[in-house]
Amino acid sequence: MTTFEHAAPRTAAPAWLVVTGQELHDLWAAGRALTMTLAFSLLLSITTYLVATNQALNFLEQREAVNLTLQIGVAVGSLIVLLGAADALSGERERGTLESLLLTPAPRRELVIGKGLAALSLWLGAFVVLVPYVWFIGRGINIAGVALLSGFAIGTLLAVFVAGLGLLISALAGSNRMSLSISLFVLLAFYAPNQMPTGAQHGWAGDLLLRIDPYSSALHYLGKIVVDGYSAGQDATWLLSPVIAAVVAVAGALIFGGKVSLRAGERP
Amino acid sequence: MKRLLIVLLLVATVAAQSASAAAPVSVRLDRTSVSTRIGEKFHFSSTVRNLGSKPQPDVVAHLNIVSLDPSVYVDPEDWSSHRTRYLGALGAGEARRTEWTVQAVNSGRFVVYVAVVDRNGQGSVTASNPLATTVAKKRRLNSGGVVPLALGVPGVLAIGLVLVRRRRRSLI
Repeated sequence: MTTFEHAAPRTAAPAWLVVTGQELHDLWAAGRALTMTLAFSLLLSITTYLVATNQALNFLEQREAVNLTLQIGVAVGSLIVLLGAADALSGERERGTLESLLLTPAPRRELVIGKGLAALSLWLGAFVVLVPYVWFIGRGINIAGVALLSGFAIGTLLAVFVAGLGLLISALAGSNRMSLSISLFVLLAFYAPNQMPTGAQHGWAGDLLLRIDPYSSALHYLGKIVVDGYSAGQDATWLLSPVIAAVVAVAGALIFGGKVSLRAGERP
Repeated sequence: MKRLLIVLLLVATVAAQSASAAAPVSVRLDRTSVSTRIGEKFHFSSTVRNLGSKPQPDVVAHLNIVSLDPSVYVDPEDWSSHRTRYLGALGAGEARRTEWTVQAVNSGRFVVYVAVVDRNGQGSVTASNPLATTVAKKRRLNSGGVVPLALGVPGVLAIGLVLVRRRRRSLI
């Protein structure tokens, strides 16, 4: 929830920066972000423990084990961002604080930018938590650095995409529940092609689906770098879809978020 | 003379039948054995040759894996996701070489082979020579230290969360 009680004395700062600061405070100082990060770390702990000790998973070549952990970290890290972004505008609407927010002198697009940047901080938090796990699994084969660098780049790209998507859905949704439901449904749909049987991923149709889906293509590219040792420029066409998706989602969030207004019956 | 003709006719009929029943293609693997460790990939090639005097219109080669240990279950799809190759037409005497990449997913003793069939489902199934595969157990990742990590990171975050909530309560 953003309030502008102290915004006026700090006039030098642009509105989006003030919103970002306030949202960051609400997310992290109130413990919401820490709770999500704690759940994220528990998931990574279970995954890492199983990869390291379970006989059925331990056969994985070490690069593949790093890739598995990294992909889970990137996928779930962006899910956290989506949860934060999907709550941004519809949450204010539901808590009855949207009116006071809209009455502030901040342009609406700057409100959206501030809330988007705060949601992205969830990814940064998740990435910091991810670092020791990837380091642990990748130690001894000099892969942790490359894995973390590429994971950060790909994860940030996906986080920007889902932040834009979450804000867009949040601006359009009638309720917070609707916003969160649609966001999760869309994210599951993006995860689906990556979970198809290997046979279905072959052929032009399967290949096309993987390339169109921003999640599948980004995770495929990440796997090529970590497992197959590809350079960043090799097979970079797989990044086309996530880059386009990120640009479209952010543009949509700025356009529709910029038009957000009170609806009939919302005035408390 | 008549008996001789009958015998010759019978011999010719049997010979013709056995010729048609004989496999018109052969398939050979370039290796007979491989020793590897679990999780590692190995490569081999197969050569399918048309032994007949007529072209084979549509030949399919299929990779399979058999465990020699009854307690080890093999899902060949885990070993290779690209197990069926449609080789197309093979002219008389023509041979076609195919490269295969397999990842050893289970430890133990296995036989890997390639079977060749006609795409129309006619004729017999021809199997290659066996590739005796021995896969040793291997623990790639040193699991030492995983428990402190798996408990430590969530522990630190949980402590942080408690402190943040306590501070928040004291401010209220």
